[in-house]
Amino acid sequence: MSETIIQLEGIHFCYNGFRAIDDVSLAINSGVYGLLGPNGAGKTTLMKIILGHLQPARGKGRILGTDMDTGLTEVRRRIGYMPESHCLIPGMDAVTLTSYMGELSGMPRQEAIKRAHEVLYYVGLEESRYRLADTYSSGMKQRLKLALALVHDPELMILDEPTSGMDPGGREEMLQLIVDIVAKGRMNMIISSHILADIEKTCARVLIMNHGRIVSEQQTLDFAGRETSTFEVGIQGESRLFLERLPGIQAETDRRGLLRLHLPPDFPPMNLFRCALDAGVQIRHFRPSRLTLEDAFVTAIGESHAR
Amino acid sequence: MAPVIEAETLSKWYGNILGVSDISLRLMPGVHGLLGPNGAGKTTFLRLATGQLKPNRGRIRIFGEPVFNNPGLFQRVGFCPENDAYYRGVSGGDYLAFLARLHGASMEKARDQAREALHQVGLEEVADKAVSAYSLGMRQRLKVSAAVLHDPQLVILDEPLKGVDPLWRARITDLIRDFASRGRTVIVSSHVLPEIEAMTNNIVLIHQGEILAEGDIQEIRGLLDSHPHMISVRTPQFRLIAEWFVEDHHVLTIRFDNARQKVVFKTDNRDHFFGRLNRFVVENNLEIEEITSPDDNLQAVFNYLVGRK
Amino acid sequence: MPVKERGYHGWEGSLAPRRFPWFPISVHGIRQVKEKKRAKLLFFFSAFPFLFFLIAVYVASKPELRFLDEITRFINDDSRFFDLFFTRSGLMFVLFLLSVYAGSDLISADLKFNSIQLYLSRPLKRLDYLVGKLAVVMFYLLMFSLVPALLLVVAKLLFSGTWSIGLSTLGAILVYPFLASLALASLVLLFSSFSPNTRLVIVGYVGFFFFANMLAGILSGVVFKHSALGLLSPERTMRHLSALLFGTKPAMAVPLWVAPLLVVMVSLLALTWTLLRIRRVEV
Repeated sequence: MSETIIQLEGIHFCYNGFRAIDDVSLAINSGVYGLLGPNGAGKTTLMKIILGHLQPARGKGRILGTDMDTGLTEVRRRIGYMPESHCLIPGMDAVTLTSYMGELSGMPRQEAIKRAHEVLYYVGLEESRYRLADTYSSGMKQRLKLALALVHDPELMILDEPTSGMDPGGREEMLQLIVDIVAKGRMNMIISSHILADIEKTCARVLIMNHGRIVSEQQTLDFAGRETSTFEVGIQGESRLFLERLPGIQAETDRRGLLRLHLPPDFPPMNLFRCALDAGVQIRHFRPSRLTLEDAFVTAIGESHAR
Repeated sequence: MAPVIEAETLSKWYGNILGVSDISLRLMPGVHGLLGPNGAGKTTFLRLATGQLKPNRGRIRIFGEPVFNNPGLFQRVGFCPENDAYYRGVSGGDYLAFLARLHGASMEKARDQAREALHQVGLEEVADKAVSAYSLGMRQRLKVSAAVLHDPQLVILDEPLKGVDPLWRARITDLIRDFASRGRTVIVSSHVLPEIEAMTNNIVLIHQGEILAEGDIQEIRGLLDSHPHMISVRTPQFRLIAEWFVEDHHVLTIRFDNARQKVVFKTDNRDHFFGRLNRFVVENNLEIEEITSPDDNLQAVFNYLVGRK
Repeated sequence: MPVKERGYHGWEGSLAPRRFPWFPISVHGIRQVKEKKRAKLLFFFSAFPFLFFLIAVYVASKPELRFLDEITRFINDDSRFFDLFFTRSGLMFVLFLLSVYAGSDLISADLKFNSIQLYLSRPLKRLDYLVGKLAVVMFYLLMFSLVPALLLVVAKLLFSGTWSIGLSTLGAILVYPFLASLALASLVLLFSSFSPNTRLVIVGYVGFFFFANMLAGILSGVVFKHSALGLLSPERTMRHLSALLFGTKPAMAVPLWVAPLLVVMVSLLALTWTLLRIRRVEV
């Protein structure tokens, strides 16, 4: 069942005369959304509006069923926010801090403590959960922030640069945690990140912002649909011999050494395997060419500049 | 060809704490990615390479010259540190011009160089604004341009893309590759492995103060005997293909993904496997949707060598 | 029995709004103050005025010690007794120290570590945050002013055997500590909101009191030679308030109602200014 989590209509917001949000209307349904955009595009401002910290100058909206005009303080009970910047409360160990945040969201004290332990185990901090949070490394602080956003089991999570400051192992684990949380149930997410690989791994849909507007909305898995007559092919052996058997077919080699072959409509892709066999080479990589998220991003931003 | 950076049994420790231990390395011109977990010794290595630390044992040379206490060397080396390093109240343009002057340019030439550098990283419009007013991404771009301002032979960049938006990530990546294609050397240290992969195929992996692997990613992958190669085949007839390989002793595991109509093989002999696969596809007229190698990438190499806690 | 597998599990409970959303802030804040360095030492010394007066009550009730006639007389006069307890026993200084100890880092540490962003990611308003913090300081101040005063009332009852305290005195015993605590708490929170550096906050707060006292002394004694300028001094104003509440002789030639008005106004101003500063914090 797909329900509308966030609905915005004609939202405007200005900072000192600068239009940070310029006529934004969108509908975010259940699922995981990526939020992309150049610096200053308005991503952070949009998140603050959704959290109720900023009041739009014009426009209306509903967040988790609550009208924006009535004030969004209560809605934050059902939202888990993982901010980008370092933030913690000094002098508290992780369990105390996590349960404290749970209490502030409306959990009874004992429940909050129990859940704090559970959530700290989940994010991989079980061995350091009694240590003071200010002694944590930056990777641990990121996990702690995730725990703080999860403790009250919200309906919607907003993650701002969730892998920032983490080493390769930590990044991988954080992304897997995010994928797991979504896979396990009813969590909705909005993830803002500059790292496209992270968005591709975790999000089903992407909103691209620029100059305070939403310039594009995409499905991440949909990119393949764009160019189905172009294929990425990886060859082991003499590619020259292979290409000789493909006269008139446009071919480029990309940075990774893969061939991009633009096949005419009357050329069945499976013929490539026959040609490879004849040429004495092996096809070791074969995939319909996908527009990467990077390509889509650059196009969307470029188009929005032209407008 | 002489190596650009050469380290021999390089070691550094701080009391009990080990920084790097017995590192020997020869890096040729080109782009090299430097990666490793936190606390692995990456930062120590970079500090040794930029002359901020003196080795306890062994030595490190750049362009054949010792690094420590050799300020003249840094005419040919540019460094972009991870942390912010700028003077308060200075504008972007002034900062770069100042650096250019430090490297010996005349006042006028310095201004030109600064303007050109700012243009390259898209900061020409904010040249007169104070650096403290720049966003994080803008400050990163400024740092990168400061590192290449004096056209050094070797550039060392520590997390250059932190906080930079996707548009400028791509452009700076191109800038770096372009820079290296002119015979220069770039060392990029980063935690974001897809970033490194976009820039280069050559990496140096440091863990627990040692170099675990150095060189081309695919070659390194090939050397990991204890981790057979994963090959994923997506086709409606995925089970038929599996049947074909069940008796093959070079296939070590077969895993099915019903939802995505995929079968994932692990094999210790890719040549043998792909030879048979290609023939089987052609002989049986199969419709293949996708053939990929899911663990032939840097994250997989990292996971296999460093492991997860 | 179902098996609990690895991975993320939701929480089956329900999140309910609290009657006082700021309550957990106060509870945690109070606990954190208690766990600070040398807390017990400070609390021990803060009890001295109370202990001294408690002993005095005991002494006054013992006939064999009646030679200390002076003491007996002042003790039996309740208004004067509590006036002295609140304003001349060193209690004012004790409360001042407690306000610094409990309150100086309450907001400034949060500014330093960016905690307000965490608080506001919860269903809290900035006002809730302020009230929660205020309650922490008020708790300790009342603990060492109102509670001891009430205990002294009980002690007097026990040792003299009769209920001799007038209703108006009783009322004054409740009102004075409350106003004093409110004023101190509001001011220390205001100063705490000025800087993420707690040392700076302490210097500013202490300096403010020191400077105000000094200014009051100079202006009222030397420059203008009018005791009304003594109102600049927090200490003198509180004594004036006490004089109003307990009916004792005031030291300044100013109408008595000016004192509570000034105290309440200063408190409200401090609280409003603090709230404005909190509103300005970026989240």
